Amino acid sequence: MKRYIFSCIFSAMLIAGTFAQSNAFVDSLLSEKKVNYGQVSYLVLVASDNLSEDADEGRAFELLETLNWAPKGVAIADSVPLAAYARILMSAFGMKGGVMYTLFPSSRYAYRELASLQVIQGRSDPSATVDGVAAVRMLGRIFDVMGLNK
Amino acid sequence: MKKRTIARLSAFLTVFFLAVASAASLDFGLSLTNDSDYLYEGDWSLVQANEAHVWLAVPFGSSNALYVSGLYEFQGTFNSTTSTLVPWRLDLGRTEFEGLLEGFLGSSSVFRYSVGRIAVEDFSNRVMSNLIDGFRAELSLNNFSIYLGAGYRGLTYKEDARSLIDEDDQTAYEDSSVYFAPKRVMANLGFRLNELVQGHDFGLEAWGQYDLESAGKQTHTAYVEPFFEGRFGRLFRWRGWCVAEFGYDGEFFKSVAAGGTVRLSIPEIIGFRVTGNVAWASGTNENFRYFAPIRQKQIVTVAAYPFSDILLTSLDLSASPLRRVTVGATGSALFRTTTNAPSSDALTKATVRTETSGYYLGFEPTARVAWQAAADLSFHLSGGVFIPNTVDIYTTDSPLRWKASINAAFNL
Repeated sequence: MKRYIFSCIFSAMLIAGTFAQSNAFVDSLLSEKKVNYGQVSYLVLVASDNLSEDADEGRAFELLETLNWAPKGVAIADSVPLAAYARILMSAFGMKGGVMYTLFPSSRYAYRELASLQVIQGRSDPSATVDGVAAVRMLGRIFDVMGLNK
Repeated sequence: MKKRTIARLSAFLTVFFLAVASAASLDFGLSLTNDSDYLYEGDWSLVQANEAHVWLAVPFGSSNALYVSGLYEFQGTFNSTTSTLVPWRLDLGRTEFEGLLEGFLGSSSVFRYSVGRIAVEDFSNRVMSNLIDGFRAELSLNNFSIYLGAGYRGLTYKEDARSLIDEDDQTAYEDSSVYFAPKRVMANLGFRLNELVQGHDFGLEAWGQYDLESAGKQTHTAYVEPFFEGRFGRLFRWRGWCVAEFGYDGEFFKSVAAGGTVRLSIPEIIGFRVTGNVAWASGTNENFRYFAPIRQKQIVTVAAYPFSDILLTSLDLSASPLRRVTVGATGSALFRTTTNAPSSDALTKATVRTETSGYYLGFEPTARVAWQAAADLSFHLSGGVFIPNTVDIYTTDSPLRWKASINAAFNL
């Protein structure tokens, strides 16, 4: 199942020529029950062309902090709440968002924005930690919403 | 005894609020809405309503959640001679504890439940669609689901509840000193078979309400509603339903309603969609009594005909020519089903002829534009006119009834 999800989403990305991460990284990510900031930084920043794929998670997290897209005071090994992941996705892909997100580009309004775009689907809790499958699925839906699969 | 009760209640509330406060993951928000309705029917009137809706959501684990909401409303009604202001109204909105259990009767079983002030509706949306204070439960097994619910309606706002089953209800509804809906309890039970035939779902619902008002006439009613919906290919969808109402108010009575919808959607062509709709509700004659659902609703936008002694046929066209913009137009023809006088509430300035012969009541064209400016900001403009039949139902001096509405919503 995980392989299937991976292949569906990432094959589209590969066809688009946007990025090509190693199978090992994605395999390990898909098996994570709670993804951390290092993994999320690498996944999203490489997928959004903000970072070269030969960088590592440490470098990716550093860049995330430099860009001020990570919540204050978090560590690389901390689990990522759903709302914080939404903020990272919106920032990395330069999504504009609604009125409240434009005024206050916080995790709270990023979560609302992605829920309204159906990137976050079904019953969800903004403070729940994200697992690997959900992280990859949400990234795939961002590609759909942004029209990056075409 | 009283002290013990208060102590128990205090303990419960303390535990409850501690549980809520300790839940680190609560989410909250505020929705602001504006609804302005301008009417012209020989004379003008304006209804202005503004609402602030505050809500709190507290997840308990991944399967349970508490949702609490409340509202503040301002309403003003203005016309050429008078104005009425209701500067504030506070009420409890949807407030429920909901959850689900998965896989306890096999891998494909799901049990959902909800307790509190919950939203319920029947398949057709013509019998009941509103909040009740009660519970709802649903068990799904493969392609079969069974659901039931029960609750009390007497603590909901009468304008929302629109309980207009008998004359007592009508009197209470028109009494400005009455806030709550009539005291009635209701229950429902239903099942649905998904994909019983390829692409088609079938189901049956039973609804009932019991009148608890001690004064006046007590009217109890029950409704049986079989339904189906299906699709043909990717573009065509249809649905059909009928309702048999059985009641008792000192004597037994019955009434019926039925309806159907056919829809063609072509998403590739600017989201084009055409929908045909038919809905019929019996009036009082030698066989039936007027159809009286648990919640009575206006059947079209401009004229205020209730869903009783009426036949509606309508055609709706809609499309999305621009991103985030949807436009649409509807044409509705209305007919009465008996030769009884049409509803006096439908048109305020039209006069019914002393001798009426026809069934055609009038035609209502409307148009609308919806603009989802952002995920949290939307606008909706609509307008239309009701053209009454002045040949054989209304007198020739009956004016057209115009209506224009502006609605906006902003979610903080």
